[in-house]
Amino acid sequence: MSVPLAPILVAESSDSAFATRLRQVISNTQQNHFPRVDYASDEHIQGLADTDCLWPSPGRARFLLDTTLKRMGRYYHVLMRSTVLRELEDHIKSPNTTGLAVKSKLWAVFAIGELYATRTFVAGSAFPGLHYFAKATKMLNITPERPSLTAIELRLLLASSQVRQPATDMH
Amino acid sequence: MGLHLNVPPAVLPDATMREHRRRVWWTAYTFDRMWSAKLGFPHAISDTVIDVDLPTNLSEDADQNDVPDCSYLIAMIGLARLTSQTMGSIYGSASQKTSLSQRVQSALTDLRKWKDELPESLMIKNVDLAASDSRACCLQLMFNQVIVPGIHHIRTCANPSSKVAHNLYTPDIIACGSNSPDTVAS
Repeated sequence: MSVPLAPILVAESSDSAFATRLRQVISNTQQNHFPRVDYASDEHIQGLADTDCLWPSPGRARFLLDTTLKRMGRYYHVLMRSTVLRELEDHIKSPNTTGLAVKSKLWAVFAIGELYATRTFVAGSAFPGLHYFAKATKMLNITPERPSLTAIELRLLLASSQVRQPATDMH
Repeated sequence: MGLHLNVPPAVLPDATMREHRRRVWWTAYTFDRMWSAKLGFPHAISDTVIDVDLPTNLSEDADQNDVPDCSYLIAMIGLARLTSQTMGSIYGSASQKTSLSQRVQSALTDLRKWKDELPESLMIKNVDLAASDSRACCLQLMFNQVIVPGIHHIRTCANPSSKVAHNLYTPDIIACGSNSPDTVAS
């Protein structure tokens, strides 16, 4: 990205980078830093959002939901376990009756589940869960007529999936 | 939605759903404070407008999977608040009344107090990660992330022989290194 189009530095967020580097230097173990240079283009994400995405099989869907609840749900309360489990089961039984908000929430759940469940990443292949993420973001194109907790849960899920979790599996 | 306000039981009789609303609010608050601090932007939610209670533990007949013990959430909310206060004390506008070193030392003292008041279950025990709750490690990482900029400023801008700085940075910097097998990318 050219410099004039890049966001300007508002505060000294480089201190955060300093903090990371300091810990890397004084840590006993070797730390590898992966600079992210491979971004999906806006057109690619929009294209994915408009492309049909196969709903994961019931087993895979339950696995992805369980992964999201166990990993992200352990650190941040966004979803109520019993509610989202019921919503998934209802959708599996009768997919056509699920509303857009709940469906988008489940897409976001699957995207996060894929992020946590994917252990290996092959360069050049699709980013884990990107298609699910793109489908979930379609809901943001509309301004709902009425506010709902589901819409807020969706936004929190999407926001958190864009930021790396501070504590991944450390055990 | 009014998530920042308490909902009376007469309006929403389901206690679990009332607690869910509260916790979703505080998650949004935590994201706002943590991420604005990391990105160097001002936070969006002012403490003065919040009129909703902190998360609570429900009675034993409530499903613990839906609303687990609240002590971790309360610790994280406290740290999120201190994070924005610390960043404000370091990078805030020049019109603040006290000097930078006083502000930073005061913020670091508050952070130390927060850490000392953590419940036993959320403390890192002898830097043995396997014996600690992974959520305790998460809090420690967030704590490190906010305390290091403060220490950085004390070391570079303020009196380096400051007693507060000395007492604070030595154990914490060592902990930062040994507790960070999974480094937080910035």
